[in-house]
Amino acid sequence: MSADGTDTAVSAARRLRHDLRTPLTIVTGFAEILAADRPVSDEDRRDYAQRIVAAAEEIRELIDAAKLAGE
Amino acid sequence: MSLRLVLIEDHQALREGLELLLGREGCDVVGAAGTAAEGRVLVEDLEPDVALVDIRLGDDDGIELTRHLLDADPERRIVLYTGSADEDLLFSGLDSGARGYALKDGSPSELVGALGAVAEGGTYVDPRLRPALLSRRSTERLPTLSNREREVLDLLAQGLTGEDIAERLVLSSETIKTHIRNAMTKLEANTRVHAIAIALREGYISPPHGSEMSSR
Repeated sequence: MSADGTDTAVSAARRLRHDLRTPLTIVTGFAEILAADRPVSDEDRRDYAQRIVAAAEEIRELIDAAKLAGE
Repeated sequence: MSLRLVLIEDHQALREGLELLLGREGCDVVGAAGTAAEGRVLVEDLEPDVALVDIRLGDDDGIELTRHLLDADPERRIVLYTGSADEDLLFSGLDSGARGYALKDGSPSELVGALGAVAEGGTYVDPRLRPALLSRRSTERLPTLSNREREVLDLLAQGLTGEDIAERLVLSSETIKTHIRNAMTKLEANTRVHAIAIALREGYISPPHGSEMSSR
């Protein structure tokens, strides 16, 4: 692979790491609330769970897109 | 009194999530923006205690935004927020004058701690970045810090304020400010946190005990 190609791959990997961390922050943040002892209303619990599901879906899409790019 | 915060993050779900998460942790998110232009207006209009700025704002650059905000008012307190532990980005961020640098890997309570430290006039660098801070033991020689300057920077890194240090060392606040200023000049640092980062990197001071590097 050329130096440019290596640079592009490194840059893409760096971007992917950043992009994955953004929804992962949502997952861990809300999961920590749900796992903690502090009370959460039913409505909030549903809202937080939906946010986790949406963020997990975004992570899956990012991984799938990275797989496609690598093939 | 709760912390008045402006949040600048381009990822809508994370922005909304942070509003909720930080709100639960006691922050008062007075404004939230998804672009640098909107964020700049919010910070200028609302003058929050602290602004949390994502480094990668879509096509915009959070570090550039930080420079603009601090050029207009160097007293503004800004924490840069990023998913990247890239070393060059870290030093570029510290060079911008931001007083805090937090990673998205941290928990909401950690982030609130960082925002609180910076809002109170202190500094913060995510503890996960300590290896990056320590890795650049460059061969270039920097002017030697005096023992007193090292001591003052060491206490700053442990979280003491200038006044705390003055009391601890039985010196005047003005003298402490002079030591800090001289150390910053010698280390070619733009801010206190930048000086601490360089002092750590160059081995002038040791990493503070505990899991975070923060100073008020």
